[in-house]
Amino acid sequence: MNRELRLKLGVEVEEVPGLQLEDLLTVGSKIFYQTHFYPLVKMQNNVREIYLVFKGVNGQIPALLNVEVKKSNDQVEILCGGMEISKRNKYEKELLAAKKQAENALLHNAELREAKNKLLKNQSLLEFQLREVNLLKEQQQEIFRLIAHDLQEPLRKTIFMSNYILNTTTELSSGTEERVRKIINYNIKMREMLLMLLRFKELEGRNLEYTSINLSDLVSSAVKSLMIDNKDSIILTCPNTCISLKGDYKLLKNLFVALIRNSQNEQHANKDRLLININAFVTVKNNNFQIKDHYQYKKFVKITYTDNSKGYSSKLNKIIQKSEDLNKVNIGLAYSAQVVDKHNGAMEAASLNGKGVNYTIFLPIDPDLKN
Amino acid sequence: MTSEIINRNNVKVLGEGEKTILFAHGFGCDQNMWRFVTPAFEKNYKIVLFDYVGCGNSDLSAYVPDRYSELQGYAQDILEICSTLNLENVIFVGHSVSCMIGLLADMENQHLFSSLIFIGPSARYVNDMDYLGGFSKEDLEGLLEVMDNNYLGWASFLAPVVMKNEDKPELTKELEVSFCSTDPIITRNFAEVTFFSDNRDDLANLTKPCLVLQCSDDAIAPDEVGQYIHEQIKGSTFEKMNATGHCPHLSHPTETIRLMKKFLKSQYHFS
Repeated sequence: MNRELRLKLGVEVEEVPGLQLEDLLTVGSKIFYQTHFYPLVKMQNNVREIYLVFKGVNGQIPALLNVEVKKSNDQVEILCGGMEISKRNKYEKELLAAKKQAENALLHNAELREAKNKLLKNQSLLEFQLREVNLLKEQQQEIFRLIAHDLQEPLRKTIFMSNYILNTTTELSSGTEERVRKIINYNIKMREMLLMLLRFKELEGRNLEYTSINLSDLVSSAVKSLMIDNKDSIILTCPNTCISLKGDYKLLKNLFVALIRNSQNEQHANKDRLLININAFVTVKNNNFQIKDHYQYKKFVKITYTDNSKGYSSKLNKIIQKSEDLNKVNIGLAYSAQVVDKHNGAMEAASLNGKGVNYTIFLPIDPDLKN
Repeated sequence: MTSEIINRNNVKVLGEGEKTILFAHGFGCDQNMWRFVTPAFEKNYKIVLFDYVGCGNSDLSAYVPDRYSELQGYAQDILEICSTLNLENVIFVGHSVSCMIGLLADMENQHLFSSLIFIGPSARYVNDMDYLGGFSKEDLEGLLEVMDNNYLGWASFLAPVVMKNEDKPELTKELEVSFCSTDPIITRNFAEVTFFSDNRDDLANLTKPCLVLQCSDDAIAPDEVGQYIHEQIKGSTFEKMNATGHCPHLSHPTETIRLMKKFLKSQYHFS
């Protein structure tokens, strides 16, 4: 180390051996030394024009460094030369600031232009889609009106008539009586499903009532309302024990009720205990689920729901299946997915036959209430 | 789609084994950082190397500022690479900020990694109440200033003049275009995302076997930080290295390899 540098750094000649270059630097420069400077020297055996700042006796000393590593048979010699650039640096800093300002303005401008183009393009698309959605909505409303009133009534009457036959006719053969009871059961099942469908439909028009919700409380209250015999059969684990979020308490409770009810319906006959595992943690996730290449990060609760039921392969958006039992399960699922959707969240399902279900639910911690 | 991601992240697959090790480079350079370590694993493992978008030889045009405004965006890179290559039961090896990126990737897809090796991890660089990260806000602003004044980004143009690899001529060509020569604006953004990140609350979510390699005298991830990470990740293994500095895979590859193999042996009964 030459005299000039020793004076500037306040280092005596005898102190020099054993000094580490990085210890002479400001903290910011020390990081850069570790992340860039050292790897470069190590792999290239030389670097040129690297800017580092030394801790001087009278304040910071910005310098440009060149390093050359000389390897001979059994010796490594590191030569380092530098030049103080305080004055030049002041000027350069101003240049950099101006450059950054110009770049930001340019970037901002480019972003604005791109946004404008996108907006124009999306507007016409939106118009078209809105028209289509409105048409679909009208049709759907018609169908649901049919379900709500016109189908309920004949069902109610069939059940009433069948009961009447059972109660008033004394000489029914046992075979006939059994069949009439089956008719009643079928009709009751159908009415249950219709009610579920209606509940599903009602969700659409519902405005959410946001309150602050503690997730553990929510799940336990859902479990309680189901009156499950063996309370030990549901396991809830949260690594960060106290997770709270804003949401509609009633709907979110219904969501867990629907999921747990599904698990019960699909319970393995040969397994005596239904095990449900609900796990949750907070994570940051891109808020844009649909639009590609668009990123806006937000805090979400990630809930994973697994059980040891039979499991079935089904897609969330598919309500109608061939088997009646599956239909019941799927309406419950579709209901759950819709609740999540209403909260601006996302729900994914993975289920393997025989291995139980595996749902992943993302709910925003603090949803944008304007939506 | 397949080749799109491979090109975008400059993905390289080598090695003769079946089990996969994914090496994720830290802030500063690119996959070249692993070159002294990977040869020791080539015989028994499949090795996957890559550059994050915005680093090394990645496709800079794929850099979407919003996406990479959080470490989650970088975790997406890892998830997309793994799904493109159909990887599972991966051994994840991350250096520096990549440790937390790997943790975030694991939180998003828990079926991907079978174990994780963290080299010089930190969950938060800025000091906080009851937490010593090692840096004050002013320190990190000093780093950003140093970065602004270094024109490594321009090195790609000057490479033939500046870089002379006399003893390893075969490297020169590669270095011309790649080594540490990153886009200055992207690198600055990466620095900000890295050094102002806070992943302390995420640590408890890691339940896989995890090795924490802590260097001696690491100016970037001090002893306290590594110890903190070890305490927060239940069941993790902590190894204090003799290696000094922040890049033991560059400065002390032999010790790094030995400790990695020791951990792998304890997990998979072969190394």
